[in-house]
Amino acid sequence: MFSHYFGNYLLGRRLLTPAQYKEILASLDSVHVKLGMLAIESGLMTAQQVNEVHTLQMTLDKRFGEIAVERGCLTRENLEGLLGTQNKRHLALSQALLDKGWFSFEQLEDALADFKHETNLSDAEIQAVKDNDVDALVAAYFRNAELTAALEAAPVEGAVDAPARLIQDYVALFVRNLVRFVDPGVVITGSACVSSHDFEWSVSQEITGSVAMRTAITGEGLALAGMGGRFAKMDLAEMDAVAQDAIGELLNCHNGLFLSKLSNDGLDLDLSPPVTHHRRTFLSRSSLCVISITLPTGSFELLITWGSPAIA
Amino acid sequence: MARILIVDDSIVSRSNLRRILEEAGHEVAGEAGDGASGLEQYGQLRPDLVTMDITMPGMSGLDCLKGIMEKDPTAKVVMMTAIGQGPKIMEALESGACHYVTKPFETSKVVEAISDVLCS
Repeated sequence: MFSHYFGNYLLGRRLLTPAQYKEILASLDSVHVKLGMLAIESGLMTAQQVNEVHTLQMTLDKRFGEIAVERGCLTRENLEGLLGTQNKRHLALSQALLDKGWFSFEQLEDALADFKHETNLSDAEIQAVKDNDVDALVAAYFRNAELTAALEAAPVEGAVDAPARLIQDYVALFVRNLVRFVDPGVVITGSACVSSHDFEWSVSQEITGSVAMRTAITGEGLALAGMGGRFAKMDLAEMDAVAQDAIGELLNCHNGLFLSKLSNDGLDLDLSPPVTHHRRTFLSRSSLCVISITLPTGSFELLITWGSPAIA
Repeated sequence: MARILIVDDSIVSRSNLRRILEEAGHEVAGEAGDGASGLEQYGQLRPDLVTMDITMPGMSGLDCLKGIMEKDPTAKVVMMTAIGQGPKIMEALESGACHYVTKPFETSKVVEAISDVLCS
């Protein structure tokens, strides 16, 4: 995650060209080592055990290590040892930049210092990015007092004790699902509460029942088609019916996992079929929570609001 | 090998299911994009098994399931759902569905569920 955050920063500052960034990302993919592979390589788990944990991950919102420990495949000490090895992966992009000769040690040191300063993330939050700690990272985008206050003050249709926290959990699960089903290069670039949101394309879905919410993925056609294509494992170059459907299925699968989790807390919820809109505006008397996200396929927004906002 | 009818409003889900089923040696007898079309095609095709999405515009998967069970109480229907728990799954099983699989589809889960239902 850190490599993508840092790479996205370098791209934005024109310290890397899009072609260089693409090349770097391709090289990162080739050396990406997951915890399961580390566990096999270290002899702590068999391939069969790793497959079983991966299968469980498809239905449980838990990390690989948590499931492996719960099933007795790893001890807590084993897991910490493996995580210690895995965390060094955040050095991959920096090392690749040096190896390719695009950055000197000094240039890299300066760029890292500027990155830490300009992202407005604390040292602990930067560490969360390095540790792939999605919950802590998402929490950083909800520490904006104005955003939290607007979410807490919004009229909620349903029984929710902590509305801002519920939305924060929703966003964290969404980021994990993007990593799991679309691309590991997820970068959150901003969060805001607004009363209207213009979009080129929107695929939205209503959550109904004891809590009423609308969720949407909005953005430009090319970016959404690229993301939908990654999810559906299809080559999608434009926001045609298949791409719209792929984004709808991504949102539907994510919302399904979110609702399954809430069902354990006793909330009885349901989903409406996803709906697509083109060149319109979401309007809401309560606040629209907009999370800006960048993937290697392009940028888009995740929108969450209580009730049913008007679409003008 | 079984003849299977896919009922799902998602083009992507239908495409994934078709690939999984055909790779497992089954024949896709037909595809329907909504519950009403699924009900109609069930009467025409009389497949060995139906995979049924729950959330669809128009006639829902639950209503389509109930319609199929009225026509043919021996029908074998496997529900496909994004929500892995909750009252709709219970209602589907009480209404005659034999099994359910959660989205996003995992090949082994789909093949196992269909194999279990066909063997029962």
